[in-house]
Amino acid sequence: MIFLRPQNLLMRPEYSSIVTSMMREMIGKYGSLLLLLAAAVLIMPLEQKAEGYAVLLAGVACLALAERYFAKHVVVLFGMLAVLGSTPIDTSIDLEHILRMGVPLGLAIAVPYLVFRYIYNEPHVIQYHFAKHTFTRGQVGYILLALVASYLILPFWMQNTGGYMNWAVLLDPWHLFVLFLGTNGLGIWDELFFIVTVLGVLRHHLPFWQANIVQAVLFTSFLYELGFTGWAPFLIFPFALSQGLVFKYTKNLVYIIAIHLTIDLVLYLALINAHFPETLPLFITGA
Amino acid sequence: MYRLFAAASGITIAFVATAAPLVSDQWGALLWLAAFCGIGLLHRHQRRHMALYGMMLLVLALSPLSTSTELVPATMMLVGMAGAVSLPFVAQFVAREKDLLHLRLRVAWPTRQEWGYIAFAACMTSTVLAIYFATTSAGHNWHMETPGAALISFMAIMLIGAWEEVFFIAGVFGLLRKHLSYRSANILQAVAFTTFLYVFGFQGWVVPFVLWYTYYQGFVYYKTRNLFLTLIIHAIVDLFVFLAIFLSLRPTWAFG
Repeated sequence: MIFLRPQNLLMRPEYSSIVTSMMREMIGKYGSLLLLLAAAVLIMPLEQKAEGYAVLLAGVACLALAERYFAKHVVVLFGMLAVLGSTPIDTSIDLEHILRMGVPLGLAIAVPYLVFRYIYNEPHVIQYHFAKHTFTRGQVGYILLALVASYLILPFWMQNTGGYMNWAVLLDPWHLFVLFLGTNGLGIWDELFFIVTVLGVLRHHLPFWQANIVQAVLFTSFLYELGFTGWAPFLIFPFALSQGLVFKYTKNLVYIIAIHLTIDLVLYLALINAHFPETLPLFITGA
Repeated sequence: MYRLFAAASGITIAFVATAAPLVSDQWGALLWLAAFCGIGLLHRHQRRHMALYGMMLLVLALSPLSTSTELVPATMMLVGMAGAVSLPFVAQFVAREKDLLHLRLRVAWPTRQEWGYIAFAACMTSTVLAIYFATTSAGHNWHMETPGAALISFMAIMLIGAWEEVFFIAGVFGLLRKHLSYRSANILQAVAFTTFLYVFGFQGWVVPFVLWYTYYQGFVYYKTRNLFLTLIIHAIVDLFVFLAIFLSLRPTWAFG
């Protein structure tokens, strides 16, 4: 207990106010993040909207203890969680639902970007690293790995848990087209929101691994709400962590979107296969 | 070089054809004869090593490979496997030549890189094995009817796993590496290794994955020069194999 020894500078009475303010800031920082995660899990997968919003408000209140700089960044994330909570998140593909879900999701990535860029004047926090990249051989290999893994896992998961029932699939060109756009669009949105926005804001204040865990919990609960139920969270969570890590090392948004869209393509084919086994017999691990 | 690769491939093809088995006994004997004739055409110092390689696989092809837990067939198989792996040992004394069995075993805590190899293999193989045994009836190739049979199967799976590493990685891969490039040697080793696992029941769509896995084991040995790593990876994989088979045969035991 080296901290409690009198020769420790922090134990001297003249430093007590510094110590208490440090402790207050730590409690504010980690307390509010824990409340953010609890609110996300309550609002999205557990569908306890009232309790979830109460916890969310408690989190915002807890932010008052934290540093001002941290609080003004993270309160934006709380706001976006509230927006997601009021959005009907599911996979139906009629036009009205697409608008009612698409507009809030669009706001959830546009508002933080605009706030950080034009109101806070900190454009370096949320950055879209688009250009000037080519894929290395290792990166192409990783995409192939994702392709093979999802080819084995997704049909098996659908068969095993009946998870494919969460998506409506109709065999006419228009619906198939909209479903294709929907799965790919949501895939891109996942990366823009969870990796670029949430992880970008959090890694500004936390060690990367902590920020990545927070991001992955939010990612997993959103996808659970979307339809990845059953034991899927046990695989989505490591996937979300790996996406954060890959983004850290490659700094290439196009690449993580490419990984996600590869998996989404398999998801799309597996959904058709699960609903209409005779139409598209491509898979070996689920009828 | 090409002549050597062709001769070594002849041995491997004969092994695949007779162990799997893909052809009748007469055609198998003819294939082996042709393969050994091909080796006879090689240069003298390559011929000895390739003849040893051919003998090792021939002994393995002749031994009755099965997953039986009965005393007699299991003993016969173990005798055959012990004979096959003892050939390079014996040859080292007879020919007064070192490293016919390229056995480098250094028991040490894995480095960061080596943990990466282990973790990657564990993630990939556990996923594939879980799905493979859950979606096919391949688990029925193993015997787990009684607790005793399950225990014997478990011990056999772990022991044979360690034997495979010594035979295919240290023995076959090490021997081929003396004259062939890393890639050619590893491909031939992986084909023979996969055939061996195919006989034990890894059939159907899992074959390409087994091929990848055996190639990966050769790669890890090539990179680390330490059989300890491949033994650890194999032990982890075998643990998953046992669990996956056991749960696919007795789902009530785990899931109520």
